[in-house]
Amino acid sequence: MQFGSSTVENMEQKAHAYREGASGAGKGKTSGGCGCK
Amino acid sequence: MRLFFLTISIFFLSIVYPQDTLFKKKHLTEIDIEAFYSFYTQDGEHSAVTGGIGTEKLHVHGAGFNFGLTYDTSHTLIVESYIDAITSASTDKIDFIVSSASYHDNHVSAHIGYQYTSKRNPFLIGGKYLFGMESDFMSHGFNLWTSIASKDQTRNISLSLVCYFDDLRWGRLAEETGYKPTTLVYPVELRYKQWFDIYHRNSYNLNLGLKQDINRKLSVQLDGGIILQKGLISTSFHRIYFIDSDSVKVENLPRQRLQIPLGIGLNAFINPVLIIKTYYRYYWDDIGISAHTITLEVPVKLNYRFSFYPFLRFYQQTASTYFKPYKEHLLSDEYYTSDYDLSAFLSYKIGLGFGFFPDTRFGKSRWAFNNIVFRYAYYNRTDGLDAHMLSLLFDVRKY
Repeated sequence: MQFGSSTVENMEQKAHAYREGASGAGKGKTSGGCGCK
Repeated sequence: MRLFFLTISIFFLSIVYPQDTLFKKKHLTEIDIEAFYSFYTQDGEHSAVTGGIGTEKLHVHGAGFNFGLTYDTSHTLIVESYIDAITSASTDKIDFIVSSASYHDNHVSAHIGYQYTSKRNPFLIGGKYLFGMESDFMSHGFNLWTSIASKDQTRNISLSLVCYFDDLRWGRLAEETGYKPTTLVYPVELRYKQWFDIYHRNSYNLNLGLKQDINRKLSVQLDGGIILQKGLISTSFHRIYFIDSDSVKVENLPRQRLQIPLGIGLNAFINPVLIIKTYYRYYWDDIGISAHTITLEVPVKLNYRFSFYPFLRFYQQTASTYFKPYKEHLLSDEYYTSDYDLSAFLSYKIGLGFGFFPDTRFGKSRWAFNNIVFRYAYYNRTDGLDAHMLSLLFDVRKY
C-alpha cells in the first residue's frame, strides 16, 4: 500500500491522464473514469 | 509440603495450558489514515465536445481518504475512497443549454483490498476491488500485485495487474430512467440514431518493475507494461465536423487499443539533505501516438520536520493517426477524432511541494500526527491549454 507523497502525486497524475493520450487503462477518460473534457 | 503441592500444580498446569499460552503474544495493530483534498482548474480553446474548438474551462474539487489497518505486521486491510465534483463548460455544450445538468458531474471511487507481507522472506502479495461511478459511467475492476526483494534488500521485483470493466451508459442517477442505465450520451442534435451498438470498455494493464540499488547513494528502477483496451474507445459526446460536408457525426475510434509504456528512473542520494530523482518514459500505442516523458524532482530536507521538493516534467507526444483539427476530416474517413488530448503537442509541468513531519502524539494515546503534504503544480500545453493543481494531504497513525 502506498501512502504519503505517492498519494499526492497520484492525485496530480489524474490531470495527465485526462489531458495526454499516453495515459490510459484505468487512469483517464480513454479507459473509463472522469468524463472531464 | 507446600512446595511439593506448588510444584505438582505447576506441572499439571503446564500440561493443560502449554507454556507459550500462559504468556499470550500481543499481535500489534497499526492504523494509517490519510485525508486529502485536491483542486484542479484548466482552460483551453479546443473542446472535443464542440468538434475541436471552444472553451475547455473545467474545475474539479476532489476529496477522499485512505485507510490501512495492519495486524501482526503481516496482514493489511486497505480501504480507499474519493469523490471528484466536476464543473465543465465544454460538457455543458452537449445539449447547448447553458448551465444544464451536463455542466455538473460527480465521480465517486472506492477500493477495498488486502495485502499479505511475509515476515520471513521479503515478499508481499495483495489485491483490491475497484469501483468507480459517474452519471454516464460505471466501472468495476481489480488490482493484483506481488513483489519480492533480495535478502539484502538491494533488489526488488514487482508485478501488477489492473483490470477495468466499464459500462458507459447514462441513467443510473436519473429518476426518469428509474435509476437504470439506458443509453450512451450523444450530443443533443445527434440523438436521432444509436451511433454505437456497444457500451462497454474493458482495460487490461500488466506492469513489471525492477528496482536495484547500485550502491549506498545510487538506485535505478526499470518498469514496463502492456495495456490492452477493447470496446468503445471513443467518447460518445464528442462531435466531428467535416471539410467536405455539413454533416456532424460522433467521434469514432477503433474498437481496440494496444499501449506499451517503458520507463527508467535514477535516484541519487547526494547527502542527507539532498536527493535527485529522475525518470524517463517512452510510450507507444497502435492508434499512432508515441510519447516521451522526462521528470526531475529534487527533495530537500531542511531538518527532521520540514522538507520541500521542486519538480519539473517535460512531455512530448505525436498525434494519433485519426486526429484532425476542427472541420478537417473527410466524410469518407472510417475513424476520426478532434480531441486535442490525442493531438501532437509539447507540455511542461512545474511545481513545488512541502512536507511537514511533526510525528506528534495526541496526548498519551497511541495516535500520532504523522505528516502534512502540500503541493502546487502548473501545467501548460503548446495547443493553449493550461492548468493549475493544488493538493493537500493529512496523515495520522495509531501505533
